[in-house]
Amino acid sequence: MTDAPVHAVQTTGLRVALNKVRIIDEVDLTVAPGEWVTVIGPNGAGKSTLLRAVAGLVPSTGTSTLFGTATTRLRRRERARLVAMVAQSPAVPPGMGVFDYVLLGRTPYIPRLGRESAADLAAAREILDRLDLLGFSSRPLTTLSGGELQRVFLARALAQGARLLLLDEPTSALDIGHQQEVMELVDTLRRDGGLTVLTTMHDLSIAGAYADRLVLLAEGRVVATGTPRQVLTEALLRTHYHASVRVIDGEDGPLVVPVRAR
Amino acid sequence: MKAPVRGHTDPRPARLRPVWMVAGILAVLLAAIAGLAFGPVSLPPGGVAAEMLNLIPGVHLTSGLSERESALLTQLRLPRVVLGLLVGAMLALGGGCYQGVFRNPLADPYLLGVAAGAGLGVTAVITLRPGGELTTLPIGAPLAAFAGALGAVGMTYLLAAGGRDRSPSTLILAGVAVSAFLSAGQTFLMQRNADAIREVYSWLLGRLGTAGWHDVRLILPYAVVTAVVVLLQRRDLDVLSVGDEEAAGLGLHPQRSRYVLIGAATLGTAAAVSVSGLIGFVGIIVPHAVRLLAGSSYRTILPLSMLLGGAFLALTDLAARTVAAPAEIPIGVVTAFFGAPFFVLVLRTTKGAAL
Repeated sequence: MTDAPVHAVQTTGLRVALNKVRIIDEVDLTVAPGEWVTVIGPNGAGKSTLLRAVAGLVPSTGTSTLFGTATTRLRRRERARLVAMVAQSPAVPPGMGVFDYVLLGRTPYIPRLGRESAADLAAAREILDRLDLLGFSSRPLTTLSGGELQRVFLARALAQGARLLLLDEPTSALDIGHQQEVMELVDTLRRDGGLTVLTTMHDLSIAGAYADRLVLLAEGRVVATGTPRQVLTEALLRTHYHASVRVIDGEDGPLVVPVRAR
Repeated sequence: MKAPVRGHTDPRPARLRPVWMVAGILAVLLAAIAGLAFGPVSLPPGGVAAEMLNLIPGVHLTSGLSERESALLTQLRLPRVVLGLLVGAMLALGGGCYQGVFRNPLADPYLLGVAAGAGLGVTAVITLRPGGELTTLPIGAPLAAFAGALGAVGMTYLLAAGGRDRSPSTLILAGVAVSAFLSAGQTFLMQRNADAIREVYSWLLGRLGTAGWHDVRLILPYAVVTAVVVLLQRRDLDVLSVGDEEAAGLGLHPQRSRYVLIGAATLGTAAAVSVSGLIGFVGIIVPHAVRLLAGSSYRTILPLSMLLGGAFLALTDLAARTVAAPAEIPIGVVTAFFGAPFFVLVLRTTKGAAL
């Protein structure tokens, strides 16, 4: 055996079927530690399901490993310390305050039947501080704006202390300014905290500007993978999105501009 | 790392604040003293308090009560008050727990069909027992009630989960259907055993027994088990509030926690119903009042609901036996009288928020 580098995520022949409908089909995906990989693809391609399968939240066949350990062999709490996921539209429990919500992220460290230790409280406070949310600590979630909420969701995921962050459409509910703010924040956290990021994204230009690699998913299969320049091509987008676009070379990657078909 | 931010008070987690704990215990003590002192024969509250302290080994105070009054107090009123505290605590804890487990503010032992299931169980025990006058509740009653209640909550859950519609009222409609079904079974049993109708009927309307300490002893073990299991898992209910998949992502086993909590809440509720009959709405009034007063974390709601639920039912029982004295109004009638309007209030605010 050679000393192959341990991937943060590695799936081989991953398949997911929900209600007997195959959603994910033979997906091979690798994400290196510290890398940012973004899954793109048309609606219904299976992007969210792929993320949930990587997180071990939906049953799958084929192999899937997290930092070298088979996902199915990890205990739930161990898994929750390795991988944290922000769902596309997370539940907002009525009446819950920001600090208590972020503390939920410490669940995998709190003994069953126990309660938060001083270390858990300190960890949550530090994350709130880092995301400039300390002033919101006692605010009920229901009073926050979309951009603030997204930061709070992120804070809960970070409180898990996981090395792999899965973000399902983290910007879908945000205006363009808040989209950039959240993406910059994730990128900073990735660089400073040594995080690995796997995300799904609808906005192709933003996807290309932040990801090291893109994975294009269509009908549950990987149809293209590579750098943003390799994946965001007019031909691939026409084939798989049935979209008529121009791809313009930008400073941080290709810019995808929709045009009317002639 | 940045220096600690000044100007903000350090954020603190939602836990039961000591002031609320003290308020809850005070409410229980006051309700108990009131329940003991007032009735067809009123006793001086000071003498009652002294008499209660005398129950503690080593304490000997002069209460000023006659021997008859003292016997009335310890043999009749005290068991009734203690039973009220226990039943109220179990119904309120059960309601709060169901609301968390089902993520549904309308959940209540009565509305989920749990009470009807427990009722069917007890009716079966009363009607199917070998003849003879029924003096005290059979030992098997709480367990029969538990079996019926568990069946009922299972049916309600399956009926509601099978549908596509996930709105809070779906669960309640399923509960109504299950209740109707089980009540029909109960009526059938009563019709077949006409001689037991009177006994079942007086039990049905809700009463806090005249059975002395027997009923207290009968349900105390179940109440303790329920309280311990539910209170130990109260943090799980906060985690469950983000939904099953996210809770699983946080390392919880949502379905397992749910079954344990439903089982425990149902055991306590069934035990309460088996001695007191169908007392509705306590499980919805008390947890919601606590939520409004002291915060929405289940770590606050559950222990406080237990204390205030007990106090609430002890006071309701006092009202039930004094308002129309010398006659007693069934306690279930009193709770429904206050509870039904309260339920409508919760329903209306819920509709605005969640539907």
